[in-house]
Amino acid sequence: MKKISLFFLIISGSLLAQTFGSYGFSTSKNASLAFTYTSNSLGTDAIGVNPANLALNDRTSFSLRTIFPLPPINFATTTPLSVEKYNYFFGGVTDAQGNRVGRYLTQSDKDELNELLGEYDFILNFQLNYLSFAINVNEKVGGFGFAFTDRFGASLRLSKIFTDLIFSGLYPMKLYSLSDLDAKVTFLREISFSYGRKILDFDYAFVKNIYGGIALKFVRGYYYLSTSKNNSFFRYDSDNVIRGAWDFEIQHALTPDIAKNYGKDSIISVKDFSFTLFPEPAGTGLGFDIGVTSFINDQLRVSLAVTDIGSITWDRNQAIIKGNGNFTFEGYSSEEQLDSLVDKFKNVQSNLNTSFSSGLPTTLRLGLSYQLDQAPFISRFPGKMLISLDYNQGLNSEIGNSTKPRVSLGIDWDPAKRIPNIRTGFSVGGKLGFMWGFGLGMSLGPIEFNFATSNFDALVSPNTSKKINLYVDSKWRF
Amino acid sequence: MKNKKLLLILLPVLFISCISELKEPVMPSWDIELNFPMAIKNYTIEDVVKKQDQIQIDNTHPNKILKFTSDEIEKDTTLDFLFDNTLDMEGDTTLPVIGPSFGFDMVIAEDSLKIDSSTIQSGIVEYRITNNNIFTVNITIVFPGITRRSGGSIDTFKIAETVPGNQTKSFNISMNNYTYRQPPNQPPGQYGFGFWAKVSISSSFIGIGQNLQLFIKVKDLKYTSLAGQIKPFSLGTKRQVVENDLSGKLKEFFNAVLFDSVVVTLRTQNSIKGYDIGLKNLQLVGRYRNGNPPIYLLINGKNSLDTTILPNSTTSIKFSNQNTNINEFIKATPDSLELISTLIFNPGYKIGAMVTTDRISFSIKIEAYSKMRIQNAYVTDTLELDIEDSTRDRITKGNEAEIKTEIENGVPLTVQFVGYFLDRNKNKLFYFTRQTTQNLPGDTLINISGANVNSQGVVTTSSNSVIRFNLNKSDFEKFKNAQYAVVRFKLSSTNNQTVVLSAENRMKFKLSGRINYKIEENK
Repeated sequence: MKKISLFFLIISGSLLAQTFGSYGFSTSKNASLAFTYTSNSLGTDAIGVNPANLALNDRTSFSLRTIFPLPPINFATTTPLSVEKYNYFFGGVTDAQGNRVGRYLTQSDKDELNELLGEYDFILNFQLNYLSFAINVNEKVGGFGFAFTDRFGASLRLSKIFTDLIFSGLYPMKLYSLSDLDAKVTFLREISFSYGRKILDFDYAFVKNIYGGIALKFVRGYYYLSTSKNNSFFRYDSDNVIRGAWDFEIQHALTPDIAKNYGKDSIISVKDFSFTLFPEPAGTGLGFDIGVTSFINDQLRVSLAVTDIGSITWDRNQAIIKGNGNFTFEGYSSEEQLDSLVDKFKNVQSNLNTSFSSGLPTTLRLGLSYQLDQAPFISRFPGKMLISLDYNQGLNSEIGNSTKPRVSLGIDWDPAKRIPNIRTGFSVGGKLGFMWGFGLGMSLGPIEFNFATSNFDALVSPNTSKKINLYVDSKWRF
Repeated sequence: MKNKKLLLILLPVLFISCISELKEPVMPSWDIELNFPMAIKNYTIEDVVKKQDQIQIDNTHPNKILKFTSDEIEKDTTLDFLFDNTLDMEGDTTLPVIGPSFGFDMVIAEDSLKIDSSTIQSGIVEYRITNNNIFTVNITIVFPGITRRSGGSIDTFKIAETVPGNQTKSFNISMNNYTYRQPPNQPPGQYGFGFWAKVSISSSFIGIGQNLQLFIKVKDLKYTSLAGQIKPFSLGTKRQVVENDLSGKLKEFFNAVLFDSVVVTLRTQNSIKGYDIGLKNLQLVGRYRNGNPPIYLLINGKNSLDTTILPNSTTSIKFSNQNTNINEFIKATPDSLELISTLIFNPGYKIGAMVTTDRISFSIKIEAYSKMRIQNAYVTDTLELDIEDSTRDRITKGNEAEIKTEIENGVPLTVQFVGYFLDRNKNKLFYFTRQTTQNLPGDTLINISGANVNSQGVVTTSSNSVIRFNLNKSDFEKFKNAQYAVVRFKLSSTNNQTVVLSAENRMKFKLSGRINYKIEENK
């Protein structure tokens, strides 16, 4: 019997996904292309990625995503350890007496395990897209898009200090900084209106035309928790004294319909709570997407977009919790000394009057696509093949975003009628590192079904993969 | 088409079968190294001596030096002789019966005892009358000086008897709660001091008859107060033995100490008015349990002292290390101290007064001040380790450890110490006072430099030492069987000179550690 032990699990899920941030929320098709989407996303897929693409031909002029006929399912798990590594580190070994005992970790084992566990992020992304549709009126008028989405996201990164201490110990003169400790939780509701159209045509220029697009987003924030600052550290100095400082700031806000926020002291549930689909927000904001796409020739197009420009102001039921101070620890000499040390950490204040703002996951996207089957150097090609290349650069570290740049390549092959589209792609960099996407897409009348994984390596080599995920969704076309 | 369906079914099965089974988790083990500060402690000598009854701080001294004090060896004696038969007295007479009635006086006395007044708590008058006549005799004896208050009147102690012819009568009569005061009209001269008895005899006989014998004894007297003149007599030899506080666990320490200033105080107290008390052959003797010959405190070269305790006084006589051998006496560290003296009551045969609550006491106290020279003084202590087995198991997971101790020594003593663990059979396991992990034969000692001092022995600057204790894997494993820890200190004063040990001298310890430890699941 298989035993599944989810060890340090990352789960991310989405329903009716819409791309958000540099790596976070996305669709089944995008997953199969290793999230290569800036220049090749069309119709509803272009919402949140590049509004200029709404003006491009998407085979049909109208596309819509609902929970029918196939409820979109996105299940993804990421563990810091592959099955192989898990069994190696935690599967034990057989000793001389035939007993199964824990493996003795050598220095290189410790270093490897420290690396695997210490740089691990717990991420939970869940998206509920109630409705999104895109309509391309004509080339002159352009295309419109609408989306109504709830997003819940969590990202927790424990400081590497903890695994360093567990596997390496405490060493003199080494700076143990907690600045890498980061926790973020958000619950946002977004209503977006997108529009894209052709801007310019060039007859004899280097480019054939330019499409432009813009999206306006109204954002309501229901929950926000963020370690907005953490400059805490300690060091065991050469005079055998541990010196350190803590300096942190936490921003916290939540809808007043659920609980009253008293900052560091407590959060008290409101009396007579009743569920509503439209609770009073704790914060509101406005966001923009802008993008351009240009056809260099019939085969090659280039896109540039900046999405989620804007911020949310949290000014209701909010608190800024700050703590700071210095400490020295010269050893445990008496209860009084220890109590005095603990008291120093109690210097925490709450500011319930000052509002704060958080950014949207602003992302710069650059992409190009090449229609290989129409390449002049190819005379005959089985079906159609679009090859895309993306560069995604998050400009902040909000939920779903990463300042680590990500480069990806995606191939979408439509071999023939009645044969599913075969998609694959590779991505490197970004928050999640290497990804090998693979998926299938097929059209049955007005419905397009997509199945994908963004970690095909988990199928090829399941024992060494740290990510296993599966995307399923559908899209209506008229 | 059939083959395609089969392939669709087989592919997932093949995929699943390629995934290795996740094994039941077993915690791995690994070594970690922790460097950490352990403690920083400041100790003043004052902190240490607060816990010692025998050491006080002389706050009057500019350097707040210490005073090592023996328990006061005190003998306290009450006036027992007021309750024994020492002061009994008797009188007798024989006389012919003359005529129908006659009287005479007699005094019941004790040689050299001249009682002016007394309160008799209890006592018995024993008398015997022998009538050698053939006729009956009536006899009345009145003691004018012995009275008792009874209600609103005063009773005088008296005896009245009728003795038939040729018979003897004996009687005991209680004298409880009578007081005695010598009457001013008591016949003086030949009768002297004593209880005056007025005797009256009557009979029917006319002429000179046969004699009458009268014997009176006042015995078992217990006085609550007494005034008068009492002859000198010995109260006996009194002795008091105490454990020597300047020995015991610190025997080896005091054995190596030469005090610059020691005071031996002989304190006497006598609450009796008028009477001196002689202390004869007063000795302080140090004795050993092993039967070694005793050591005597020599005062001015003699091992005994005669002195007199004056009436109603408290006196202190101080001796020093200049006129005694007290340093030698302390260094000899006897197990017990015995104070002996013979007490002579009223050696001057003086007149005085006393009550039963009067006390005579004498004591000796030794006070040594902490200006001293110490040369290789040893202090050894054995500690029983009360450590749970689970804790021992955890400790054995240590691979290697180093404890760094930075010492700022403001005490003018150089310290060398050695420490080791013993198993339950007192077999030596290993030295923990080791500065390397190689188990080198000579690597057992830790040295701490003494504070720097000036020519007067007063601390000028602290000295700094850094000690690193090193333990290896083998030590941790041996520690599992450790039941006792033995620590032995060797102390010497800085530069081997006389130094002033002050209550304000301090030592600062800063401990930090590095341990390489194996993390593994507890079995």
